[in-house]
Amino acid sequence: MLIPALRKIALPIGLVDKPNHRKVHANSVPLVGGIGIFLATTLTLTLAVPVDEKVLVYKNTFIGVVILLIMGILDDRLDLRASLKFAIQILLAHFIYSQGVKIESLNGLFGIYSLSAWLQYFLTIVIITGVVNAFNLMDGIDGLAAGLALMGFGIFTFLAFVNGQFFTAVVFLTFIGALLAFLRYNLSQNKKIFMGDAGSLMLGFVMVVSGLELIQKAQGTNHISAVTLGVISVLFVPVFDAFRVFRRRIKAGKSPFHADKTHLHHLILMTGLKHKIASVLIVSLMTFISIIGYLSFQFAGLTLSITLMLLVFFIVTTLLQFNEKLNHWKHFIQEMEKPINLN
Amino acid sequence: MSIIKKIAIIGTVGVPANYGGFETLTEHLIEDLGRHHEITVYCSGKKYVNAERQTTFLGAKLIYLPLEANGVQSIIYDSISILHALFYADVLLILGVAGAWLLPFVRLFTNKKIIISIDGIEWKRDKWNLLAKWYLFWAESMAVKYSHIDISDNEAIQDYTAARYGTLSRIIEYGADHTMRIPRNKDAIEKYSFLAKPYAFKVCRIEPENNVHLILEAFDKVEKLPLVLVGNWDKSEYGKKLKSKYLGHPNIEILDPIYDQKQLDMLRSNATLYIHGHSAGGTNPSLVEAMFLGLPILAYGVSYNRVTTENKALYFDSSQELIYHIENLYTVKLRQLGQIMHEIALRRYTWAHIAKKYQLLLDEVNVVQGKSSANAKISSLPYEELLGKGLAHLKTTNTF
Repeated sequence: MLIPALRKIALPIGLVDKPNHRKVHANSVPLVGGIGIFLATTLTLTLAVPVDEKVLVYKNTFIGVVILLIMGILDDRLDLRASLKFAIQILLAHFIYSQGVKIESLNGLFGIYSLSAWLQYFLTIVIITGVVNAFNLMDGIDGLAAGLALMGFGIFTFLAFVNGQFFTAVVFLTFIGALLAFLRYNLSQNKKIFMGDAGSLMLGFVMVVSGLELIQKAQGTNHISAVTLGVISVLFVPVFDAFRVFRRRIKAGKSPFHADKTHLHHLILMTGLKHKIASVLIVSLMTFISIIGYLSFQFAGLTLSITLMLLVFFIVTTLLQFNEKLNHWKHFIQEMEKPINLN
Repeated sequence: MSIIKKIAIIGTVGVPANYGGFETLTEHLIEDLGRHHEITVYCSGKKYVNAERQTTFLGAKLIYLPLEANGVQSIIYDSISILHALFYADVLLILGVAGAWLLPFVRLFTNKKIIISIDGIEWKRDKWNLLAKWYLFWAESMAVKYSHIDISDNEAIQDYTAARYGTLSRIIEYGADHTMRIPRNKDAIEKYSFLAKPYAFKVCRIEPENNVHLILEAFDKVEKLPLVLVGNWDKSEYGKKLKSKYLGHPNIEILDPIYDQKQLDMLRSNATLYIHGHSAGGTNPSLVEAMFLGLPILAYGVSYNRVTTENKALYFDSSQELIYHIENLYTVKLRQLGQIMHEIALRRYTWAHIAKKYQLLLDEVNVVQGKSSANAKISSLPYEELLGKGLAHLKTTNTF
């Protein structure tokens, strides 16, 4: 119900995504998905659940979400400076840490358990800002960021049940509902909307903070490793793809933030597949990596399962980069095969 | 006179040649090089039934493998051929890259000499699926990196290998002197009425990369000269669509494939003009054959065709330009153009000439150490040293 109304006001206020050489769409599209998802989840939870202590637990996340949403909308409308956005994200990460949401232990990953206080602080800040940005970078083709978030909240809902956090599970289910509504429009031909930076930053933030909280809640229980693995699975593809892209840009002597067409979805599109199929494939890859991680975890523990997940990701991206190289030479030859008019 | 060598020719369907360019090449290599060398040719048992098989052909030994020489089976076909040849051959002459995955091992564990023809740019062709493209793209890199000498069939492809691998590929094209000028007779004119008057001719696979649509579009609008176009119309949607659109057109004659070489030679050698629309694939055998027949050539203006015709033919890059050329043709000019094309073919596209180029490579392969670099020697000096001498620009001579 919200989205059609939001679409109508997006055009007059200029909240639209205009095509450029890096964008894969041809017309201006309203950037109202993020606001839609926010309003839908907030209204649903406010109307359905009495405001009591249970709900107030989420006030920190809510404050963060509101700030990121406003920043995202301003960015979608005015293109904010990258350094300003980054500073706001670090401040938010600091705020979340100060409210007690943090990485306290690696839970046996690489044989490491407890962490010193400054390392806890450092890792929490890096992971929150890293995931928020990684998720933002994934929002390049129809249905991808929302698809990953949908699958992520699905896994989180399961983990919340495992942890006995039933109310948290309901919050995640609300997000799933809002994302399904968003996807209906995002994948539509004539009523298309995008989530914009507002949407992707907000979703990344909700997911990383929720993930950290899930791990914290499971601390001391016997399923802590499984929950840690579940959270890592959800964030795995965006985060390691960002690592891959940054490493590659640095290797090429460019800034890691230099915009180009080398993200996972760009590589898949180069194989000639359509956007929606590319999105489905990436969400399937995330699911496949999660399953591989879970199965190997049953037999060999956290460290080996993460190593295997990395191996799968490495093989897939290596093949796709090989295909990208093929495309590069194909264009080289196509240039050569253009007729030369010497008349 | 060079020393007698045992040469294995790998990667063709086989001889006697009934099929494509590589098989015709093999047949002529046997004729010319077989006098001085012991040649073995691997043939596809799937294409030669038992009754047709011979143990030798013009003195060359034939070995039949029960596999297809093309498609996915060619990987196994070429690989088994390569492994078998290791037992006796001095030189492996490999035509095509399907078995090139073995070459690093051959180089590492044996002292066999490898000459490989990379055959145009196979991985780019639309007929392959993605996996096949990936394999061929990778196999080409193995072929170029681990052979002693690699062969391209056109300067434009040499440019590509120089850019991709930084090495210098040798150019050897195709011969065309197996084609013959055959005069038309009464029977032929009865069968093909267009033979009685001047006509333009083209024979090709009916694929978009051969610009069939563009050529038909032009002949749809001109009346000066009719077009006779031979091809596999029924093999693709593209072909079927064009056939149904232009079949029965007063200025366009659509013919299905002709497998009888004499018949084909008769139709093309009596043409007034040869239209060549290929935009891909290096030097096209059909173009050099038309040149050998002394036909005036009107070709699509890509670098491959310009190089093959030494930039002396007529070129088009749109149907408008094609129409312009046809409207402005006159007999004297056509005759001169045909003569020029024939002279080029006599100089460059005879099998004796092609075989001689292969002979030179066979002599060279014994002494060759590594691949010759496509860059100037000076570019191998460290960048800092060149910079110090004010010569840093010479580090990347290939980019300007």
